[in-house]
Amino acid sequence: MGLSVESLSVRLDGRSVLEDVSVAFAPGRVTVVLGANGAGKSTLLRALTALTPVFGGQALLDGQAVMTMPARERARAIGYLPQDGVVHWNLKVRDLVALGRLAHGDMREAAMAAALEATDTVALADRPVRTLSGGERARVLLARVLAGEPRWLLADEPLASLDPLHQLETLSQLRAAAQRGPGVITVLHDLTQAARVADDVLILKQGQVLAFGPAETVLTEANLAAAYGVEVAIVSTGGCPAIVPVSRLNI
Amino acid sequence: MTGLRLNFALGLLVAVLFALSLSVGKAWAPLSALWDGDPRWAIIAELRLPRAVLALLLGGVLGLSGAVMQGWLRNPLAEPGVLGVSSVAALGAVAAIILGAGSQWLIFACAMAAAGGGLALLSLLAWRSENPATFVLAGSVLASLAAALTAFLISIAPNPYVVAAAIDWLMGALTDRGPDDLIHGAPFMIAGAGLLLLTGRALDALTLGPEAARSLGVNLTRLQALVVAGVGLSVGAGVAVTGVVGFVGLVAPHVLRPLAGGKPSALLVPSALGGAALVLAADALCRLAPGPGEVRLGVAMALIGAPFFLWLLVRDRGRSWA
Amino acid sequence: MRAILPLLLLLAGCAPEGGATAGGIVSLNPCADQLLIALAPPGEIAAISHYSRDPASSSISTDVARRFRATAGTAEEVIALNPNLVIATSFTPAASREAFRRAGLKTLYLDSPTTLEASRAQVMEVARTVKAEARGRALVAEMDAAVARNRWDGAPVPALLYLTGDLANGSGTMLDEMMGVAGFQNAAGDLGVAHTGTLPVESLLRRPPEVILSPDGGGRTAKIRRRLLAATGARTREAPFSSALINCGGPTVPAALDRLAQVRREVGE
Repeated sequence: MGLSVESLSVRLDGRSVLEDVSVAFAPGRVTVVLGANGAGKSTLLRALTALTPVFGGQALLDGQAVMTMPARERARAIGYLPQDGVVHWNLKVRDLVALGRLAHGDMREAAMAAALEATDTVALADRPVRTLSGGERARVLLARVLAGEPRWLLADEPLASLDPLHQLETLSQLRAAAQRGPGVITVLHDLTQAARVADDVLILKQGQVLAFGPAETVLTEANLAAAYGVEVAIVSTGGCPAIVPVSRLNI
Repeated sequence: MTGLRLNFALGLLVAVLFALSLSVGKAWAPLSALWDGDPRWAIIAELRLPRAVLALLLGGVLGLSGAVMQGWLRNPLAEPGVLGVSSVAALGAVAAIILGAGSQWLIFACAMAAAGGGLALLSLLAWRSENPATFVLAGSVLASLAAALTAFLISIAPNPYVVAAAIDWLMGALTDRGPDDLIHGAPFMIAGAGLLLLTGRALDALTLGPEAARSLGVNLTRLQALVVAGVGLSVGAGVAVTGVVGFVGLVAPHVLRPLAGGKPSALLVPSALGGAALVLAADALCRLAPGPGEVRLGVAMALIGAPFFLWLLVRDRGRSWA
Repeated sequence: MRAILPLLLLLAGCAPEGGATAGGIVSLNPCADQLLIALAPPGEIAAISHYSRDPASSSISTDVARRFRATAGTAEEVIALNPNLVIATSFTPAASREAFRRAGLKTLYLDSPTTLEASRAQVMEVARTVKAEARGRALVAEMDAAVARNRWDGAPVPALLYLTGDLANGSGTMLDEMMGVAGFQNAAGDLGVAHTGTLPVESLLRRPPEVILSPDGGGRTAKIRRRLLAATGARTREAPFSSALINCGGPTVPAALDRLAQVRREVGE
């Protein structure tokens, strides 16, 4: 039972973006996907939601190929929070969050209320989206995904353009979501945030798996140097380690 | 305003304008003529009633198409003409007029045939694209081509009377549209509208962008088919019956969006009702104009729509749309 | 070298149909064609307009029209013929008129006469220009005779004349005057149509005309018009009125008046 990829290869515009990636994601845990720009992180997420054509291998949900599943069934199981956070029309927050129930075809009040509560957006329910600040909007978009009660939550760089307070809040919401049952897979850029929230870490380099496993074992100076070409310092702060890039590696 | 209250208010407005439409005209024919045995009942039954129903259908279909196009293209300035169907249908009708087949049935048939051909060509050009903007480009090309061919046909017209007839038709009018026009056009318009009403859910999902929409299980290819077929059938039939009437598809959804709440699916029915009200009102005004003839509906809509849009632009200077 | 001379003479003798290869009169408009053919000897006519070969827009029979060379009205063709006179109308494009002027051609521009008096004056003007005054006066006399014999004494009846399809003839035209002479009251004129225009069917039902004259049985609205006229109890008869009688003045006038009077007689008192 779970979400996994087996020998997944994806080509875009003739270029190989993912090559022979095999990973089994664990439910109830937060998996952070790391890697340099262009390493294939977003593509991996999109392949898991059948948004991108697959060149070889497959993405599997509970043993079934994601690409051939009925769209609604897949949508109910996997919630996807894209990177751009675009909202084209000035909906009320309540209506926006309700969009998360589209795959279910119902408007279960309980699910929507729970989503609003979890993201601390109950007070915003009747406000038009365009009047929200960046942080509020990010929370509302997360609430939209949570409203669908997915078993898997995929978030592509959910912390972009958020201030530190809201970054921490979003991270704690992701953790809380995982604790409730779903598996969370998120792409992050900030290494410290990754260390803070991750149970497991997957590091991609040039479309291939560099390392995958529990955070403590994968987040090493050696792995990060290989992934980013950067020397990092892992500083213990009496709780979560802070991972700070120090300098370029001259390889 | 809640959806139900808005639709009710708009429905009431349409009903009032419909009744008004039956009483307005060059000849005085009291509504009682319908049951009095007054020979003037024929005016109401054969001229005004089909005309009012056509105005309602045409406005409804144009408003609905406009709302769907704006939702599909995620752009509040989109309108049904963008797919090029109206221009191609107009070409078919003008061809019929210029080549001497000026009867009502032949004009309609040629316009619908042209619309069908245009749709097929459009689909051929743009189907596989993931991006609706390709459809807009293809539609733009189609519209230019159709306009050029229309001008060409007019230029080779055998005599100036035929030219006058073609240009007159192009300006769009509900004048003297009778039961035959209604019988020919209504099935297509209603079928097209039916297809368009099925797009609400998918349009809502598109609020979050095409990727998020697909992740919500929405089939964008199916949506594309519904939009193209729906707009093509309904707008094509509208043009085939009345000529080119613009602005309704742009103005109705635009005006009603703040009232309906921004959600695309909530805008569909109000836009249809709003469009119907607009065309009924404009058509009544056309008939009240002094002089022996009537103002052309397409001209009236442009005279109302263009300044209204200019005003919107000035008012919203700098503000983002929607 | 000598052999070429007879060849050149042969080529020179290959005159295009219609006679003179230079000189003569060129007409660019079907009404002017008709007037020219009525007044000038055929040898002087270099070319007429291509419209006269199309029965739908011509006022002369196609056999007659075929005897003359036709041009499409472009300045190039006209200048190539090097005519003594070009007869055209005020609708000739400005560019063509300018071209004729630059080529130094003598031109005569006619307008569309809106009264019988204007038509008579136009006949005489053309007659004088082509030096055929006698034939001009004869033509005017024919027109006057036609007016005299077809003038209706009794009360006029309301009538509608469609020029083509749904386009009605209104007030202020020569046809309007002729209708009046023949005993018709122009219903379109009464409803406010000036020159030409379309009439919504509803307007007709207020005071239905007794006769509808039309060259082609009406256009898009014919069917619904007939149905409504019948439904409201109006007794309107339809009479064909050839399109050849509609467009021009001059020589067309007697035929048009005769036809109008014929229809009037059918209607009776």
